Amino acid sequence: MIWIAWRFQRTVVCTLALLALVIIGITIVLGFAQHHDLAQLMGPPCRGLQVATPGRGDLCGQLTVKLDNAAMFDPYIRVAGLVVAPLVGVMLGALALASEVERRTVRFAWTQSISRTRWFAAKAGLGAFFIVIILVPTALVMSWWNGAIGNTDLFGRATYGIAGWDLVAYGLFIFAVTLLLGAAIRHVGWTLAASAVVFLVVAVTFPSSVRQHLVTPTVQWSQPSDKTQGNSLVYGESESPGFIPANAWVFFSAIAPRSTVGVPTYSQTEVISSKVYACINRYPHKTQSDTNHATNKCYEKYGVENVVVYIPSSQFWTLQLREGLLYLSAGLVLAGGALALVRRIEP
Amino acid sequence: MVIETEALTKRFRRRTALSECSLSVPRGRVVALVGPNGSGKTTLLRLLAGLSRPTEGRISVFGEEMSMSNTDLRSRVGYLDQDRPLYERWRVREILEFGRRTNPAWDADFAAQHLARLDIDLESLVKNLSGGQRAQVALAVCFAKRPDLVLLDEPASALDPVARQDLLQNITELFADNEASVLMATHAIDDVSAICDYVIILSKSRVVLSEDLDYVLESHRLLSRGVDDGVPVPRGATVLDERRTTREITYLVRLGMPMERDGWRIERPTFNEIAIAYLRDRPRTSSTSSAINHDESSAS
Repeated sequence: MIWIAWRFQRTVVCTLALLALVIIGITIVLGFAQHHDLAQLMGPPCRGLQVATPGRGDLCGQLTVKLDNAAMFDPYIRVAGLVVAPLVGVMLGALALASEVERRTVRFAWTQSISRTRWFAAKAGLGAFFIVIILVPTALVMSWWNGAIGNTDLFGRATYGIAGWDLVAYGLFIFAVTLLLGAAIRHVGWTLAASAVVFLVVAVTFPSSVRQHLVTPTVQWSQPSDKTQGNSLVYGESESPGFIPANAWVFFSAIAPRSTVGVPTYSQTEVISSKVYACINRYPHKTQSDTNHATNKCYEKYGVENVVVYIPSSQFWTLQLREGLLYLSAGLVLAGGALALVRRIEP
Repeated sequence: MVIETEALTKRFRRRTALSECSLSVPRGRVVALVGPNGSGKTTLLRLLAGLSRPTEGRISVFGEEMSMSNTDLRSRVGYLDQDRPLYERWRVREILEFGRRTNPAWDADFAAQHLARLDIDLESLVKNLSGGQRAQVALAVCFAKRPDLVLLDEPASALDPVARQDLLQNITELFADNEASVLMATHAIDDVSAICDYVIILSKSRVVLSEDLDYVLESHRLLSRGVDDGVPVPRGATVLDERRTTREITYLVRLGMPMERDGWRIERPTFNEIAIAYLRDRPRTSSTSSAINHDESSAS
């Protein structure tokens, strides 16, 4: 059966593998060039200076221009990285099932001496295998590229999906979605369209509604006086380790009652914040000292502190693992549903 | 019996494709399944091939319940679909390889020899084959599986007369070589008497005749006499069809018992004439004594 499944999928598999190779090749070439230029810019003599400096020639300015030019391709690489997984999953999923049912070749296959379960297992198993073969190198290269160009924002929407192994898990999940839709719809065109809709819905809703619940966020409490000591609440600034570790995924920073048990919610903080700010505004603000005094008084009066809720970058791989397992588990359930439908299809 | 069905019914939403079909087909026969388009032939074959499940009733092949999950039983059944759904971009050699890898009893020599005899190049792409060649490739897979029962759905449809004749000849030869039972759906009645020895006629989703072809030919007669004679149809004869000219009336009857000539001109009908009478499915009249009773009982 493996030979049959391979014979059936080989043209599409080779095309998708070639496409992935092209993306990988371009990413590696651009990544190396950007990494080299960035290292030069950050090292002596430029040391991060991005303009021509007397005594250093025009090297730093040229490097900056080169990096800016190369950065123009970054969005395309990100899009390619984000699209390649669902593309591979959808194409192989539609080919494995909907295409055969639509062309009625299942009448030929399912009247030979093999069970539908075996037929499905071979096709789905080999399809999943090829997805892993195509997407693992893609994920590795994308992850490397992300670091090579100095992008440390691992939780960014355009980064998270290509910076870890979720790219592979997502490809497998969409593959299973397409198998199930193919078994239900039995028409390649409509299956592709429905899978694209599912892909968009998941891509939009998952990061905003599900991902943040996969790990318990860190809650950082701080006195208002800390703020006056020069620390900053600005997300991602590595020189503010007292508040937020660099490259963290910040959900919100606000004022919350110190008595809050567990993770405060944004809506909880909204009510108290308005009261605290109203209180602060009632005090005179002639000097910074007045403001600090007013802030401390009001914080004390309402029993609140500054709070930042975030997922630190150290949790990146935990989040990737959990999200990936979630995709894989959902994929297995969907594939099981597809098999149940396959056993009932009357072609 | 190779096939037995009991009150077999298949409905697709509101449409009934097969209605309370009960039949038995003996082993070692080439059976013709005759009926007009939409009569339920393809539905019956797909049920027998395990591609479909009945809405009601039972279906057994070689005494075992046929179902979509009965792989062991399916391995004893060869099926040729009317659309010949082979993989278009595959080579004929690869189609045979598919058969080899999915059928434990695969006879590779038979398949290769059969196609070589027909000058079908194993390296040809399926999409480049003619309709006749494609049917032959599908037929080769069907028989190389070494099945005990072969189901052929319109094997000669859409073929030119020569290809059609060749294909039917091949089926006869393959049947002789393989000793399998064959059930062949067709609406080309001419094919039936050429190669079949048992006939099932479906009309309006129901079985209206299921008998040995020789018996069918023996039990039907054309009875003619003058229009004005006023002689009733002989006792025990069921009128299936009648033709009138200005001077003569001819009945196609099914005989329930030996009849006396009694002034009738008696001729043997062709299978074509018998089949068409059943397919028209007119109300039948049977004579129990000397008069014609207009009951609408099924003659079969």
